[in-house]
Amino acid sequence: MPIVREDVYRLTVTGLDRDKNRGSLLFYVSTANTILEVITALDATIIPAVQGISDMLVTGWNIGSTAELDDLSALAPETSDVERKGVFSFGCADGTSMVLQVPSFRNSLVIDGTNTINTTDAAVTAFTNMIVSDAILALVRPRNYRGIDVNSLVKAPVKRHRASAKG
Amino acid sequence: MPLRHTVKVRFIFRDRSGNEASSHLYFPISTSVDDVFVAVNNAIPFYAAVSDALIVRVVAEYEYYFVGLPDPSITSDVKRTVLLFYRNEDSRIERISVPSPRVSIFETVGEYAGIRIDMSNPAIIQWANLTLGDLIIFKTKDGDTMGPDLLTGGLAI
Repeated sequence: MPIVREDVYRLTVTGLDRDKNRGSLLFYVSTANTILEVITALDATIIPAVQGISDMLVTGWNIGSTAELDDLSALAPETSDVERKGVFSFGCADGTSMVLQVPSFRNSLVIDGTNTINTTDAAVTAFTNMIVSDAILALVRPRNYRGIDVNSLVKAPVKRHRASAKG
Repeated sequence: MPLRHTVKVRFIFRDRSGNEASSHLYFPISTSVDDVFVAVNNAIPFYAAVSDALIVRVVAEYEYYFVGLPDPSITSDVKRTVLLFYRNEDSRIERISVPSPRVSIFETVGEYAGIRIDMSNPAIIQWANLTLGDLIIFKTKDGDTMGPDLLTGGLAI
């Protein structure tokens, strides 16, 4: 099912007070503006305007663009359980590792009698190649959170049960 | 200087019971939001092949934070807020909540002294010019245009 992008960006400006309590302002900005325009305006006008009326210290900001499923009433299969995670550990070019988890990992891709994910299955191989290979996603490949290239799996991926937000 | 590392993309999955959990991918901060969503749409089939939950939402976040900042003002307190009210084109009232308002933006005389914003204050005028101007188009969550009016009576809470 397709996802549909919202026509606003969610812009959050965060700051601290003297006692290190965190506060924030929430704006919605038209996607008629580019992200770059919003970033430029943050430095030039938005943060100065915020600091003009607020004496908290602006410490950062976040621009979010959201896309939602076109039919939010759709139901996942009975077998789905987002606490059943597929956990993948990748090595990165700087020697660090990156953990990627996939909620509601399909049980059919887990080797029977174990919690080990079957890395010989075509769907699992395609998923790991999506992370470590150039050009599969077109235009850009994933990195770790510091922007470093992700190289390869460093250990066998496993199924783990981890908490989720409750429905 | 702001630190810029990556665009964080959260894929949010929902199972049959309505529980939600997410999976994160990161892309170079230089990636445009349109290119991010091209990659997102290409990644969804790979996720769907290994997960039987629904991907109900995807959020791409550009996040910056500043380092080497001075201490916040001695008067700052984010538990105090001021509500700024706007009237949009179909006369609905919208609001923006601002933490730790400066004392100087409030009226200084009359029964609302210290409570109601002073619409002639230069910082309020600067704020109004920003949020109602054309440089950046501010909207409500529903996509309505913010304004055209910033109303008198913004109140300290």
